[in-house]
Amino acid sequence: MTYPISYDSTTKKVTLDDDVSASQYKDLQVELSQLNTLTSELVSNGGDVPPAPSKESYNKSLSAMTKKMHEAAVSSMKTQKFADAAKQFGLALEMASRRAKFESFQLTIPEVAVCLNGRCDANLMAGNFLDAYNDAEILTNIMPNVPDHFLRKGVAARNLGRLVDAKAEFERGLCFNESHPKLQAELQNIVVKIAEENGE
Amino acid sequence: MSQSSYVYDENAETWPYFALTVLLVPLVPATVSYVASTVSRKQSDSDSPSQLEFKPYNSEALIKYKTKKSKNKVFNKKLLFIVIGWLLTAYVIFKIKTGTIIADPNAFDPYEIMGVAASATEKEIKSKYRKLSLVFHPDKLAKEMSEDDKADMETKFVRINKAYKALTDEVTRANYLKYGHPDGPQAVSHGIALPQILIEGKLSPVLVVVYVFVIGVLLPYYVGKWWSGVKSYTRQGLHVDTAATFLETLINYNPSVITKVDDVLEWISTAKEYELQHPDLLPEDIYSLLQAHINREPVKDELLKIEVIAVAPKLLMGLIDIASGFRHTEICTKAIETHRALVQAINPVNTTQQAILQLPNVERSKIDSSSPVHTLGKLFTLPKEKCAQFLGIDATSDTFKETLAVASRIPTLKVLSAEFKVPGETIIPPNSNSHISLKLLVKSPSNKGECALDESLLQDDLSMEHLRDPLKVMNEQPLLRNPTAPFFPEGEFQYENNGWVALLVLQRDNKLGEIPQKVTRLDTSNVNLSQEAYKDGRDAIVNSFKMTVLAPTPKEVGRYHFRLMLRSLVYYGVDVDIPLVMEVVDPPIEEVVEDNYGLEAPDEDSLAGAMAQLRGEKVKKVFDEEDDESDYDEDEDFSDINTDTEDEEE
Repeated sequence: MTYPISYDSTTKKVTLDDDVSASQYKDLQVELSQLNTLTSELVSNGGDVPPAPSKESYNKSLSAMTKKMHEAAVSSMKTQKFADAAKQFGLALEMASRRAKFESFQLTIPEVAVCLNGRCDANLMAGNFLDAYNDAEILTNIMPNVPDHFLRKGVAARNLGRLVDAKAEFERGLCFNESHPKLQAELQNIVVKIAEENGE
Repeated sequence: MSQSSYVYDENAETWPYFALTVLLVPLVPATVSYVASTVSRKQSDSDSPSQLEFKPYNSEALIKYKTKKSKNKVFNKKLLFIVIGWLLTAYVIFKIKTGTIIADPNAFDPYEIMGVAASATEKEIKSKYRKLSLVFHPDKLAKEMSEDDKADMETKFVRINKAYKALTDEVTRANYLKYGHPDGPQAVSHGIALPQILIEGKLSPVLVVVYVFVIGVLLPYYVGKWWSGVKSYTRQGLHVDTAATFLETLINYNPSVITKVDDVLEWISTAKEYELQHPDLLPEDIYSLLQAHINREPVKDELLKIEVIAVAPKLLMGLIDIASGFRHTEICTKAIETHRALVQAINPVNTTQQAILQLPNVERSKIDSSSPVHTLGKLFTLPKEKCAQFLGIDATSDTFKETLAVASRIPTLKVLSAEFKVPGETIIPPNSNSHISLKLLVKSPSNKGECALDESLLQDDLSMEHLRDPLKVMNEQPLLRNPTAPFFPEGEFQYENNGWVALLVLQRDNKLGEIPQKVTRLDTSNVNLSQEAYKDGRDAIVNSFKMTVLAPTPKEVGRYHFRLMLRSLVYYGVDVDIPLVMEVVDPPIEEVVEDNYGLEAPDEDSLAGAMAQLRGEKVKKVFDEEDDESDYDEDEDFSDINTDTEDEEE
């Protein structure tokens, strides 16, 4: 099977041909952009072949920068500047996710998760529940066995008025830790609220 | 003496039987299926709840669609075949009745000739023969008889003699048994249920052509057509091309993209079914028709739109089926949501009041969208004036009454108990076949509070019959009534795609743990109870829903978390989510029954002792010193032999 793609040796990128409609090859475009990102990262890396992903061959300066930004965001949180904090967490997150794709994925995930955690909390405190919900959604997808992520998602859903969804999130969180006190309290609250909503 | 010949059906004696058989073989099943489908349709028509005063904007087209469909149903080729078939049958039967059958003059039945029963003994036959010979023997005939009569009597006597011989003489009897005649083989004739002119006359080439056409052309054509028809549709009635595109969508599914109702509509608009039904429409046209329907927008050709949406439920059920193969919870729930969006003609985007919008006479533009009323339950807590104001309907009008009447009859589920069960066990042992047992109270959203139910209603029947077939209780419940869906064409979907879909999800990874199962049998008579009767609970009916879990329970003991989602295919606001925990424990070790008779434990080496050991009971040890000694001796011997051989080798 042939695809309408071509390789440009100067930019070192694979692109979709101009004469085909982009909407027809949505999936292909996603894959091409992934490929191009990886290529450009390899090119900018300089060396021939990057070392195998391991704890040692991990860009530590990027980690330090991320950590710094994260600390700044936490201090903003402490001074109740939630909107600022959300922005700073966002920057930290961007740094963490800018990491070259050939580096250890296992180490990237916790960094990303920590930043997302912070941003989700900041958004919750600032009242941006939709953003908070989206953050929590990613969190539950990348680290699905942490009950706190479901707590965040549930609280966001509750504030968005989706009580039934919120209840399901709390219940799912409880399955990873049945004695999580906050989840239990939230679940009790939400059951009462749903009954109220139904006019019971 | 032996000779065969073909006997043609010149006198039209046998062909009617042949024709009758050929006619009735397809005719009877066709008639039965036709009558059954007509009767079932009549029944479902009579309890259709859509006898509303409310007329949706597309009511004319809906009626047109319905009459078109029912016309197709009643007057079709099948009916024509049945009518003509029965007319021909009547004619053939008439032919048989009026025609006479001439018996074969050469047929020989010794028992009949002799006038004795087939079970007669030799003695009886002999005495009968003697009696007959007294009458028919040429010597005994009366003198005054005419010559003709005499000759007649003589032939009869010859026949009697033959018959007598056939029954008594061994050679003649063997001939009779082997060839059916005491004189040995007779001329054999093969009947052909066609007149001679068709086979040996000028018409024989025509018959050959007809045969060749039927066997060489028509038969392969129809078998081929049937087979390709079977092959091009899946078991769920989905076209294979559609199934392939759904499969491709699922394989290329991007988990970072959230599936929306619009996406599902886009997927189904590419279905092969639409291409076959409306070759002139592009998938984009289908998509815009589906969108127009959920937005309740009139289009130029309303009938076309209705034809398009009538196909959608089948496609969605097919999608659910395929997605459940991937254990894909999100796509399954979205497909169900799309299903009800189409059934109720509601665009679920940008509103949280779908449950209110599904009621007849309620319009999106007229209701108070800023009001915090989202559920039917809340609607019934409002005082009449406020309720009318919220809905934007005049409180004194009949339409207001109708709206509330429909709302109060929407079956709402209240879960009384939900658990995993293993038939015949009080616990869930590892590696066993379990099922989910739900006790549900179907109630009207207007009924509030707790229902004082009798405890016994919540207990499962523990009789043997129930243990053998746990699903029996559920299958005895009546089918759900058709939903109130004034915008949707009435059709087959209402019997097949009604009710809820039960999805069992693993909490750990949020994936489906079982094939989704439909909840179609529930007794909804509780919706007619008044608030007092509901609270009292004496007339309330408790429903059961059992979901078989095909996978055996886990091997390891522990707590396993599930979520059972009941998602309505037709109504908004009646979904239920139930967290379920399967606690797998090892079955307790059965206690050793205390010996009540004060008997001594049996000896170890006795039969009773062996049985007791197998049961894990105590036995009396027997020490036999001689045995030990002999063992020791044998060892000694072995060592001797071993050294000997080694010596030899050296």
